[in-house]
Amino acid sequence: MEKKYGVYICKGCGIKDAMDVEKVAGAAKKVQNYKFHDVLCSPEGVQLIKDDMAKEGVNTIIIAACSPRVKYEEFDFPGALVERVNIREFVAWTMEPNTDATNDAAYDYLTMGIVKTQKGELPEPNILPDLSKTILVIGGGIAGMTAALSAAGAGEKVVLVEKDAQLGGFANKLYKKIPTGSYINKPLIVDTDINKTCAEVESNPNIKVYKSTTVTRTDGQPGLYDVTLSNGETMKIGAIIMASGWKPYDANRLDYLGYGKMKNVVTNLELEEIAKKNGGKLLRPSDGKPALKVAFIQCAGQRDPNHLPYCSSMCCATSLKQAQYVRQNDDALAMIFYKDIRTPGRTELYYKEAQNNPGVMLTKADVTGVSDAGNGNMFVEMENTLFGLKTGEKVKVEADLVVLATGMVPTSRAPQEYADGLTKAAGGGDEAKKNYLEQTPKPDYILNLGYRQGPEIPTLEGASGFADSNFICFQYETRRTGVYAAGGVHQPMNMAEAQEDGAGAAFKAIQAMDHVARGVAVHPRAWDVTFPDPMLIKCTACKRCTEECPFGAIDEDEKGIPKYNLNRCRRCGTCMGACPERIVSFKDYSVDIVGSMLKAIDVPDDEDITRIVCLVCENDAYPAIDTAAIKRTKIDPSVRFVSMRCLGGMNLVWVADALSKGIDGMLLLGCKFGENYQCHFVKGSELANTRFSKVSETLNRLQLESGRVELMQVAINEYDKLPEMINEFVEKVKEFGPNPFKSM
Amino acid sequence: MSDATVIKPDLQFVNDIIKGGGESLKKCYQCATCSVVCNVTPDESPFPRKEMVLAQWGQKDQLITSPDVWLCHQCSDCTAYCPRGAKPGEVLNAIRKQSIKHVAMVPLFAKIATEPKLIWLLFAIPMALLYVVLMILGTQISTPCGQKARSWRTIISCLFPRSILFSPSPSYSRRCRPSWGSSGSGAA
Repeated sequence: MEKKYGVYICKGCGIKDAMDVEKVAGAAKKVQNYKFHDVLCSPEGVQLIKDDMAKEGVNTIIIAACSPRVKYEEFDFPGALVERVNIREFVAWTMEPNTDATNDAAYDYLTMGIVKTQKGELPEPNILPDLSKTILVIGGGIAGMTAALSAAGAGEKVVLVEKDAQLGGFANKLYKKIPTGSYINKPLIVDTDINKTCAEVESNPNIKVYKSTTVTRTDGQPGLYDVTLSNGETMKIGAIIMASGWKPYDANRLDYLGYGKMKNVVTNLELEEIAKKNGGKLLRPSDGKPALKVAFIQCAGQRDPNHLPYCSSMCCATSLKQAQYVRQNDDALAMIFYKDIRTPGRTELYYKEAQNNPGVMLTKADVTGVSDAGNGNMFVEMENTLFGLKTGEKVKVEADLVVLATGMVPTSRAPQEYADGLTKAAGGGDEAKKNYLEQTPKPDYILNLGYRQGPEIPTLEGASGFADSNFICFQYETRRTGVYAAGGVHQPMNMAEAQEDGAGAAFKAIQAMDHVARGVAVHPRAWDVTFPDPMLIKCTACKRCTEECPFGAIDEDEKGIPKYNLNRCRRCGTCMGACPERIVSFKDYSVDIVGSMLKAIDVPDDEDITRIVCLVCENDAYPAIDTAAIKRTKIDPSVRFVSMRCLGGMNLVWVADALSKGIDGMLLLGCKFGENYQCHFVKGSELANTRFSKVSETLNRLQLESGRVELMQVAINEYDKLPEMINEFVEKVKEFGPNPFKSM
Repeated sequence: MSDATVIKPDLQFVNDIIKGGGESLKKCYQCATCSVVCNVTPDESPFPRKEMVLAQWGQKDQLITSPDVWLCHQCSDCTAYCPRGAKPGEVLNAIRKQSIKHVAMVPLFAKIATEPKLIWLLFAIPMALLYVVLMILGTQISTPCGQKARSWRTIISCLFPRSILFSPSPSYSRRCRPSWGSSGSGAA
């Protein structure tokens, strides 16, 4: 494509008053065609650009105006390569007006924008052929069935695979459930009606149900999964909803609460089974007598570092529900001992209603143990109750049935633990690995992915085995693009929440298939048609990209050469930063493009003029700067911000590019470290920091102070601190003195 | 754990409190807002938060002998501030009622003192007693009015003059009217 440039400089929003726009436009002299407009985003301004496209064939548009985070609908010109140069937030709103430094900054930004379009190319979507539009739902519990019904209702074909011989999951085991409508003056326990949902699923023409079946192999990528079932059938699948559910925590580990030692200590799930078997009567396992004093011990093996560290969120409401089973007998008492009653969302209203029953008694307590009281009865021993006045005051209550509110363990946890154990063992040599494989029973896998990074959803720090992504912005997302988690495998939740979750995951799956069909990234860059295009002829098969890809998008062929699975890719550019050969490029984002932009910054010989390059993460740091600009916070005019898709794409060569050019310092602004923080690409800035440990090597080679290059962690809401952080860094660099390469 | 206190829930006592005016008892979720706003909470005891949980668990023995429940002078701050509408003030009232039942020497009197529908008996019994006494003593006593009593009717009419009870005389109401209104205007 022959590029015909058009540079459009907006004078509105205070730009004209802050700088000499004619001087700034000097940067556009090379491309000749540049125009000003008072309000470029107005219909007239947009028309100006459209006319140029139509009449003069302009196909490469550089818009020097506001942040690309605003006015993206106005400045959308299909068929043209568009570059937004942010001279409003980065210059006009954050620098002293009408100084040389301000004009220089705007000039540099415009130059960088032009260089970017000169180096870049108009991206074309890469749509892979033969895409499937079928959704695979793994798990036929309430979450999986709701997902299947939601997707089928939206007109998609669904395949539902259930491990058990019947659909329904845990709901089959329940005697009654918490009603989903109003609780006030209504029955507090109602039939689960799970059979109705099962029948609805089985009779839906869009849903094909496989019972007593598991997934034995999942190859490929979104839109192009090849799934093999345990019955030998293979099928093409577009997206996967993982609703494989949860397992109750192993109560045998709770012997201090009498489980396994005393017959009348049961788990909450066992109580459901007792109630269901006996038509609602709670008969003691030891002698079959009706239980009249039932103690519920909440958080049994939960919120406890020795057992489950988290709250399963449903047990408090479940115990309140089961207390209503107890109170079907007027003489019976339900006593609930809790750490805290946690009834999130609407279940708080349920708590209020359930508590109103005179025979449902509650107290906060630290249960220390359960001891025998004779005749099959037990004493629940506790301290720090609400009855006492002093810390540590001991109390015991006699009960004839003790119910342990045990928590939910996601089915994804066992595979994760197995894989992590294997990695650890493999670190100890081949012998240790062999022993591990022989001695450790292999858990039930759910997905059996044929990915290089492993067969299941990888462990996420702080997620305790749940197939969650921890990303605030991407619910249902897992770290495998096209695989969406719903229900108990996603987060601890109750049935009503699992239904919502199933519906949500279904629509994310549909969205993923739609994006793949249009050749755009699934998320978060949901508009992005670019894709990584490695020049594999130069690949040394070092495997860094395959290791570092946060989403397991890159496999290997037989020769160990990376095989990019485009539809799994989220376009973060981590592979680009990882590659020592610098062969991974996007059409508008590559090592060369960013490097050229940095080199295009004008560095005056004047030793008093400082130039700092600041690489910013587009998801957190960039919006934070925009917000600081809206607040008109001043930022040192020597700083030049360059947007990064993710700091994980930071290539060390840019440090050399910039500093050898005479740039005095380089600042990287990325997300907070750790998987708990909501980095859009798992832990890009932490990865950049790891690469950064090698930067002092580069600096030493250039004989520069290592303090000239720094990485700072910033959250999107820290816009108030950010300008100060940047300005302090500038001062620090100024103290080092000018970069000796400046005048070279 | 021999030093542990054994808690024995008493559902009947809970129901008694609920029936006796403490129907909001079960709403309490032990946030202790009541103890924070209460003016008479002792430093060492979270009153009335503790009374609420003891009442919910039917801890009769502790409550009916507790002097704490008599601390309350029913200002109803706790009831006003309670986020769950558990009305601790009303519940304390119901607890005191149970306490009265427990300590009353004549159970009938406890019943009369705690049952709203029997409250008229509180007035009727002394009246009846007086009636009987006067019937017996009859004309043998002199009335406060200085008249020689001719019958018990005369005595009653002297004890409760009609003019005070039913139609206060103009001189009485003038005497009793606050005088600051007129003196204020006089000073002006």
